[in-house]
Amino acid sequence: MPLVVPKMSQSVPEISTGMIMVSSLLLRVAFLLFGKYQDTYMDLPYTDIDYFVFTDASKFVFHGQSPFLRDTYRYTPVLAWLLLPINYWFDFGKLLFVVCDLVTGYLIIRLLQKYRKSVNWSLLWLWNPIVATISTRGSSESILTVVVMLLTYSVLNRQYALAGIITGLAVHLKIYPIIYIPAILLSIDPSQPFYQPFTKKRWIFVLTTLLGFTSLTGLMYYVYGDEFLQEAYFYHLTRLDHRHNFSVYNLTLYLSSYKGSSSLPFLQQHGLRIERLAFLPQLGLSMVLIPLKLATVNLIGCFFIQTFVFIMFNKVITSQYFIWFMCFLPIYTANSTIKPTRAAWLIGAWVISQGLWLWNGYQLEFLGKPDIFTNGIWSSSCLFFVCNSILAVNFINDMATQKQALVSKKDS
Amino acid sequence: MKYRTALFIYGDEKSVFDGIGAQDVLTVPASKSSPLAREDRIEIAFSELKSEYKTILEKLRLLNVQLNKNRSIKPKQTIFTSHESQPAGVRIDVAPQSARNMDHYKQLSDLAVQMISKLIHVETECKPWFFEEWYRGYIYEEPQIDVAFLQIWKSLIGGDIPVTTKDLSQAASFELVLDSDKLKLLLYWPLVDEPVVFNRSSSHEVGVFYLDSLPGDTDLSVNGVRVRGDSKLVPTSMYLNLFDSQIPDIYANHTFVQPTGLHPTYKVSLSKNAEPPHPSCRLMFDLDVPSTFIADEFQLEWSKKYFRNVVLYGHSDLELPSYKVTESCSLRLELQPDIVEFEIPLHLRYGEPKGGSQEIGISTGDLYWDCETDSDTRLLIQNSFMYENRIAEQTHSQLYHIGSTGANHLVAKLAVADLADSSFVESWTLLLVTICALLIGKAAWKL
Repeated sequence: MPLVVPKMSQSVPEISTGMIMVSSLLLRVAFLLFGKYQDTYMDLPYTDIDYFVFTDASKFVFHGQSPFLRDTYRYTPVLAWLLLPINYWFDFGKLLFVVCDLVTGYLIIRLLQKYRKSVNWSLLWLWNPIVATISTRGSSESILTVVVMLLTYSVLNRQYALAGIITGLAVHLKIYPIIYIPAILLSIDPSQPFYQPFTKKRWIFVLTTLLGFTSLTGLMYYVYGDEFLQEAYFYHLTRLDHRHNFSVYNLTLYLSSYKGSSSLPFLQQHGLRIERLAFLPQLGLSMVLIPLKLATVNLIGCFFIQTFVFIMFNKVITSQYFIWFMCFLPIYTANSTIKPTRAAWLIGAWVISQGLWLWNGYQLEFLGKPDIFTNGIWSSSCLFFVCNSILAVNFINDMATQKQALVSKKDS
Repeated sequence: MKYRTALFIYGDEKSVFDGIGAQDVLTVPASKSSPLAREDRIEIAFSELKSEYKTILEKLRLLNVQLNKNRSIKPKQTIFTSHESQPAGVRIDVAPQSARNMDHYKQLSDLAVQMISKLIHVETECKPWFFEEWYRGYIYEEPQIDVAFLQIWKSLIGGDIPVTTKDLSQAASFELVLDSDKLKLLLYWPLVDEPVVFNRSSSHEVGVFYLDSLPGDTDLSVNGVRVRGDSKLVPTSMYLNLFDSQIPDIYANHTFVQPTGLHPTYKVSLSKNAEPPHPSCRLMFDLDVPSTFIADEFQLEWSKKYFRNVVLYGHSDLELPSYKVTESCSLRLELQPDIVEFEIPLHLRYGEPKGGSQEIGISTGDLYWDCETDSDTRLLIQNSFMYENRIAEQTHSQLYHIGSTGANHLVAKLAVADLADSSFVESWTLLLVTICALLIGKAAWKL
């Protein structure tokens, strides 16, 4: 791992791990209590609609039925199983997600300590209001971030069998962690020539990943049958999200879902549709090119950029998805060479362009403002996409600097 | 064929009765200051129907089609509560009595809904859903009652049309009831503000009534006169036993919480706390939800402070846009008994991308006390003057409706995209994605 530590962290006193964890817990307790207050007394509910979906699904499981009886439950049944105590205590799930969110933070601290970085960087996760809000509202993403951080931890500790099992579990929970597999394989025995890709360690990782994935998936298939595969996996591959979201593709998907075909004659002639083509840049970059070039430089940085690019090119983007890359942010930032002023500009652009989209989204969703799709939602999605692209290029260039520093260090 | 017209006097009954002219033609006075409500019912024996439709109608034997125009104000209490509690738009209920099994029952119901939709010139496609023991189809589309009536008359019956085209064009609702061996056509005018003139005919009975109940009394006592053919006006006094009656002095205000956005909240506020007619009655709210709306029964089940029980008849897909859904649904909510206000969260489906915004309507729901009847009361009602074999009456309940103060429909505005932008949007999206992907790829490749 490169050791290019920004000056910023050196000038700030180190906070103890205990203090960070206790303060982070208190922050989340405060968010939970505020959420209770908002749900009881305010018009706009705090609790995420998905939390009710999980709860309903868990109720079905509790009564010996399939969680997929709950419309829009498109997750592994493991989640509904994990949430069974919710049938006795409504807030159990939120507490579980908060615990997972804190465990993710603790694993971030452990990784920072492993690479002798300031644990203060973990505050980017643990004191992050977006992260705390998402878990306390009842979004389950933190279960996945724990698993992803565990797999990162075990790969970096060279525990490849364990890493494989956890990777299998992660892919079972959500499909997207599959993008990490090429990067992990490239980071295992990195000096292995590409024309001789098979090594024992790589085989161990691949086979244990398959074992982890197929054992859980097989069990779920045995219990719930085809419906499980359809709802938890195939739906996500074929979904056509016509409702507004951050994705640059969104309006095109809405219009093409109505029209039934592409609007562009060139695509029409070849029977192509943008929703199918969208996988090309997304997977080409996040699953092939970025792992190839970055996996051996800095694996966590590679994961961070892979996830970031995967989300920005996705056909559907909601705020919860940002959690997927945010769990890597503290460690990535600790190694980053991006200057604070530049970082401030980049973060500012990201926040403002996202805020602009949210403003337009609010105008449409809550005020029903007409004529806002093209000159509001779509244009701000494009701006957000451009900002994300600039950020992605900056992150990659930063990795290039880290690589140069690594090479110089080796040479010296 | 039996033909009966019932006129209801809202205001001063003495001036109406004094003004009735009964020579060769019967004239009942009405004006803007003293309007009447009118119901015409035409009963046709099965044997009088045309043979083309007789076969399918014989297979159905139970069919109820209700067509209601949009209305902006609700009239005062009448004796025609069953008309008042019907939804704006078109509702078709069918229970094919000749079905051999459930699949056949569904097939025949589908066919019946298609046939009726064609007959009454409804263009929106409607897929019926199972509602209690019936199949129901509902479309929020303002019907052309005159066209529908004429078409039904021409296709099923033929011959002279007993109602004038002027009256037909002013009718607020039209109902077709097929009940075993009889077909009934009912037309309803809630506010008649011009004198009503009838030619005397032995097959046409006309009655003029007013309400003689005490304020706050839920039992309806009516007085008036009846006449048929050349007979004299016969004084008539009767106690109306109805399955559907309206509770006086209490009203409900139906609104959408503004602004509606993509998630309209249907709000019902009662003018005062509704006392149940009997302690065992349940306060219910029925809402037919057109396919342009999403009703999430799971979400509603979480609103325990309002709802004791939530039943969704049919299926409401929670995600698809309106142009991919043809199935509507019905909500039946059992409310907390002491409620004075409640909200139903609904959601709008994405609409056809035709630019600007579209008006998406829903009929106001029916709020009522559902009270079980004993067998004696049921028998009394079934032999009563106003009895009609409608859907709710199959439940053997007496329904006490709480009238609405305003329009019989609510409208939300739905912002939609513009298909005219599709080439521009798609080409620029593709270009932007390509350029950005290349830039990111180039940055990575250089490493």
